[in-house]
Amino acid sequence: MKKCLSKVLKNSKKIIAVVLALAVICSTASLVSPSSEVAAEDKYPIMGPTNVTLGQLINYYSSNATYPAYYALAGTDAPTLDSFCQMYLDECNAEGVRVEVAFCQAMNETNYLKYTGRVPIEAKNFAGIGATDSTQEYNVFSSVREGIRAQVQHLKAYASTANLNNPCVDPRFHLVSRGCAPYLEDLSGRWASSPTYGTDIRNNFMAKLGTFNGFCTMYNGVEYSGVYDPYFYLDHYADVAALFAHDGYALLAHYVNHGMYEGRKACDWYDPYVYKANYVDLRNVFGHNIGAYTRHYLDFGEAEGRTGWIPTGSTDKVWVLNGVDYSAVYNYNFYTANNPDVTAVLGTDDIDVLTHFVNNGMSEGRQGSGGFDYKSYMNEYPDLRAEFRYNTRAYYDHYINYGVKEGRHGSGCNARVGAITRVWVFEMSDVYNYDYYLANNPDVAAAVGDDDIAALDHFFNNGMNEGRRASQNFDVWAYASHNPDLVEAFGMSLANYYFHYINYGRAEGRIAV
Amino acid sequence: MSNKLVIIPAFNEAGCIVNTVNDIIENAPDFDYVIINDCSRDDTYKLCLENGFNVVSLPINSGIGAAVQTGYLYAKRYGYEYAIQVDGDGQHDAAFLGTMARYMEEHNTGMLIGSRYIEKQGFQSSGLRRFGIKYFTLLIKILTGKKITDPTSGMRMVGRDIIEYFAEEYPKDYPEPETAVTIVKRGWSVEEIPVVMKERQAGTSSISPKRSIYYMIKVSLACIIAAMSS
Repeated sequence: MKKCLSKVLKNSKKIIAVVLALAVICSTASLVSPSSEVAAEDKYPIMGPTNVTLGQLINYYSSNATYPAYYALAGTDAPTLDSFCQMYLDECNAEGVRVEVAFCQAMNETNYLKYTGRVPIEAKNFAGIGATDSTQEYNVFSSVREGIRAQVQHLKAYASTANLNNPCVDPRFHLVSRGCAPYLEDLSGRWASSPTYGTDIRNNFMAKLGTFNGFCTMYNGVEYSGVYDPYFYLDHYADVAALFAHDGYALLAHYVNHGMYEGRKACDWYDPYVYKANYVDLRNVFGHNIGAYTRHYLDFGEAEGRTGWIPTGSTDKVWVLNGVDYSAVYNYNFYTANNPDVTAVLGTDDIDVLTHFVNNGMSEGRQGSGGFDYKSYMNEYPDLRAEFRYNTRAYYDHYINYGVKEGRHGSGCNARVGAITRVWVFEMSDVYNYDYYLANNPDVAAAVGDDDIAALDHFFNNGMNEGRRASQNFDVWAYASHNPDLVEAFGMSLANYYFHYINYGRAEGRIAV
Repeated sequence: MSNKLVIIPAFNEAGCIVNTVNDIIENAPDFDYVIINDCSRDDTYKLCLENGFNVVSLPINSGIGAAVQTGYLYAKRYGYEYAIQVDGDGQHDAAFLGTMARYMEEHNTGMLIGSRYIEKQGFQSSGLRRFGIKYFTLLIKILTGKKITDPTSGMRMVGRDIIEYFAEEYPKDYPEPETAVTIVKRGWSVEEIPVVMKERQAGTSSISPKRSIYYMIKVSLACIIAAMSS
């Protein structure tokens, strides 16, 4: 037994010797491995400012794989690729680790999040932390952010001696000899046993990310290829190319957030101005908001079979502006034919012409359709004259909002019907009759013509104080002579007698003629 | 043309009408204004004409209620979305008008009262008057359940619906507490924001101490009737 034991011991010594020898060989071999041949200035520092954009990360990933539905379905904190990439940016920037290193390391370790290795997707472990070649163990993280943070902190442990900025969530942080691997290439044989671990990440993953030109057509989950061709956009707009030629994501972002609303054409097969010209129903709604047309095309138009490519030659003209339907009082052809000065200044754009009608034409009393002439409308309806007087615009609005429904006539009345008797809050009919006033005051009749509003204004502002008679039922001089108590109160303030009669005298049965 | 109108009822305000209007033109440039000259016996109308002010002149003295209602008719007729009455005596600071209009647009308020009592700043009324105001605050709270800290404030901005209502229905005199009750009872929203008022620049207050008792009784009854009838 003892012999056996000593044999074993002898053998074990041999084994130890062999192991030691192998270790020496291995370590020597690692000294001449490709990674350590790379000079320091050619190696890629793990620490430092980030050299890639969010868009580059997203496009790089999208061109290699589809973001797993697991992250949304399992209710994780990174349901979308955008949020996942943004987390990498945030966590790397927090610790000063280059995001391209951490991100590409994760792509390597997880095979673009397909998790074809031993660590399952549920572990949220993006760089094989705690996983060894010999055991079945690996670390599990409670959230995507914690997993990313642990990876970034573990990288910092290797690459730097600086303190962490966030609380440590890396369970193996203390196991690392701090600062032993400042370069990506130094991770070979350290983070993983492979002697080409670092160079693999750099050559097979990061190189693609670095040169990835990032042309893409999807933004915030919306596909823009129906209206957007990045090559066309770059070729046609030097200002955009100067800023975003290197970053396809930023290029698309510029189109979606600015170019579209500036009316920039971004492909051969869709022109927002053609789309706008083709469809009067859209012009009625969107007016000159050119971006809204493209948005409509993407959301509905393309599916409805509308075209923004071939002009349809539509000659329809708008009749709606800012949600108000002006068809009752406005017709493009009538308006332009009868108001040549408008088109001479504004041109023939139908939205511009309607805008003129709405902002100026109605106030100026211009006729916009054969069916409505405000002068006729004003003539025919004394209730509206009492309400709107000389505010021409109000007659149009009334006809649109109420007149049509009430069956009122918009045209065909060339002379005043009836006469108004109310000024502001004062109903004057007890002392005022239009026909009587004009018949008995020829100077007023000559001045006001057939304008009942001007006649009443004259009576209201001047006639009463001049003691003019405007009604068979009331004569201010007779009223004063029959009511000496009023003369004591009012004296020569003649208007007071009229109002006294309206408010009290008539009801009291005072004699007024 | 603006969509906001300042109504300035003026009865014998020759001493400060020019300053009041110029204050509005300078400090509330977003607003149109109209002066309702209630048959002033002094030079109010003459000053308006000389300065080219926009003025509607009534042929007899019709009282503050009719003058203000004329202003609301004007606002209704010319399509204004917001209207505010500013006293011709220069007690209101026009710089607040823009603030009030923005508040109304953002909060979709029916009537907005500029209150002197939310934050105690600037000119505060005499003790007796303050007592009266507290009394009406309490009365309105009892009648409507709504606390209005400054129910007699003349600085009240209203939207289109209430413009149309006021153009038809407006009390003859001392309208503020009564209309506040009516507006709350009819289901429009009433809110207050703090304003600072100045002392009267000239002219006489329409409420002399002698008339205070009549005022309290008349307005109390009016409030109660308004609460019951609407």
